[in-house]
Amino acid sequence: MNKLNELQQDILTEAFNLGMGSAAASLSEIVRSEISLSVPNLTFIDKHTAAERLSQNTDSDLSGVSEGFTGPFCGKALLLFPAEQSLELVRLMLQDSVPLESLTAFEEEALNEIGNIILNAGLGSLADMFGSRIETEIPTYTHGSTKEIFEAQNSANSLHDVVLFLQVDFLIKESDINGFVVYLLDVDSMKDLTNLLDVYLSKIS
Amino acid sequence: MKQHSSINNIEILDSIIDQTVHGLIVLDAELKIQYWNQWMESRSGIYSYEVINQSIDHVFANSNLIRIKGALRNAIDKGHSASLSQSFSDFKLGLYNNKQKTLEIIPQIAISPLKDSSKLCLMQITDVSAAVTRERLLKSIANEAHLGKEAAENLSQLKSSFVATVSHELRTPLTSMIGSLGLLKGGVVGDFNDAQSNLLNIAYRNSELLLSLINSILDLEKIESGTIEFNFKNISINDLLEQATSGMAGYGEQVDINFTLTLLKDDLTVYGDYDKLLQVLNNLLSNAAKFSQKGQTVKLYAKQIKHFVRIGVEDKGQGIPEAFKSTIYDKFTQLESQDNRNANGTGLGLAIAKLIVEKHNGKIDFKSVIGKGTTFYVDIPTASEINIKNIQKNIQTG
Repeated sequence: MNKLNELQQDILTEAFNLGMGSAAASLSEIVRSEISLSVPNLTFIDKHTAAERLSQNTDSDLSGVSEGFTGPFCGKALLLFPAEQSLELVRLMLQDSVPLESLTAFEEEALNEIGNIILNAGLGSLADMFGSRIETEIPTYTHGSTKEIFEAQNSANSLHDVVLFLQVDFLIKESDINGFVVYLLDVDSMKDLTNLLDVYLSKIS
Repeated sequence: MKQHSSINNIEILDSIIDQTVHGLIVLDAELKIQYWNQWMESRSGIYSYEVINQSIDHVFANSNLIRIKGALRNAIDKGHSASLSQSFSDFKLGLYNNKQKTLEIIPQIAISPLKDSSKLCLMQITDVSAAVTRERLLKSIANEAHLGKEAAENLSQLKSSFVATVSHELRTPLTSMIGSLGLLKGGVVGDFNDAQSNLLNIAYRNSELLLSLINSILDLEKIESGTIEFNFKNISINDLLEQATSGMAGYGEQVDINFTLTLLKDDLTVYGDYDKLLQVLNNLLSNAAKFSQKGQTVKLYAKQIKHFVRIGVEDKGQGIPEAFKSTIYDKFTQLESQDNRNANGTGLGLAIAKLIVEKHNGKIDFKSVIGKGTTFYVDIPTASEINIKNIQKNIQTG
């Protein structure tokens, strides 16, 4: 596993935090209340470790949003929450209290939209930094165990073994909600990303 | 090897697109419409030739267009796809504004850049009006059910605390009434004739019954609300059974019922509250006596079944009718005994017994045959580390 050096890690974290800033602004506008988003840490890990970390945080299933992306590096981007946190987030944002234990169809749509904004903002910020274009696909709602979700992301011509793992903290109406952004990459894409980071770093230093 | 589909001509693809049940619009970098499918034509009454090369602003007049246009720009400039749900704003899409009638639908919109094309994006519209109506209905039903449940819980709590308060307040004056009646009966203020004594006895007996009813209600409420204190310790089964039969001996003589006891050969220990288990056995023994005929025997025994001690109370009485079996542990449930000796009962004994046994991680059950008799048995786990821990956990969580 290629580890990021400190400089690469700092620059990526900064790019994602910039992205989260603009995502928070868009979300605040939609729900007409203050939302703040931050990425306290990120790391490159293998898929197995990522699954373990996600399961550590909850006994329940995960709910979230996934979208594919293509550009100088390709893969799948996912925003994942423990199921009960996704309920809380959506209901805080919709200012709604439905006494149901799972998301209704339109709450899933709402989560889709939230995830889409956050994932696009993150990828957009990376694209800006690298001066390139990263295209994203239409997001889809996803729910299940970590294993089920990860397996569903594999397609015939991609084996995602490497994970860029970000914790995302939401602060909305005095509630703290912790989500995770996961970029599933294949080994080549990960190399492309680290190369891009090195090129960027050599330009600015 | 890659398989080639037989669908490779534009006409078939056009036909597929025309039959889709979604609106499909393609826009260019200036947000001018470049494609408008048949669904859009039939829903809006606007034909494709009328909108091609028209700006989206001229076709849709809608305040939410700001949000849609933002997503369109992102798709064209950055290549980002977007999903716009109706969840965050109650937005309706006026499907046309250049004709008299405007059809408004609640849309779900997906926007994506078109691959291999420069600066074109696709907008897909799905009409979710009917689904939104259904979901709103579902939400209101769920909310009503939730409010109903909350109200019922509040009411039940209110009732419990009312019962507890009232019962407590009743007990004080009743105790002094019983005391006074007892003194009268004892001849402290002089003798009474037979008729007077008779009335006095009725008053005394019924006051005692009332007190036992109030005590039972208080017990039940305390166990249910978890405010009663259980004094758990290791207790000997044989000791408990001996205490229970000797305590009932006087009553047995009074009603002409013989209580027999079979002890365990090797005594066992359970982790329990001695007084409360005694209360359970007293209740089962007096019930058995009430529903037996004079001169009959009620057997009390214990035996070990795996990790449990089974305490049985067996009578040869009238048996429990089928219709009564399912409600036997309900509060204020009483079966008529043959000679109406159950007039002394409160109908709460078994309800309390069941709660007490369950606090011991035990089980109460019965077998009964009409005309042949009934056996009630109480299964209590024998004292072991695991069981003691479980019971302690139960007590902590109420």
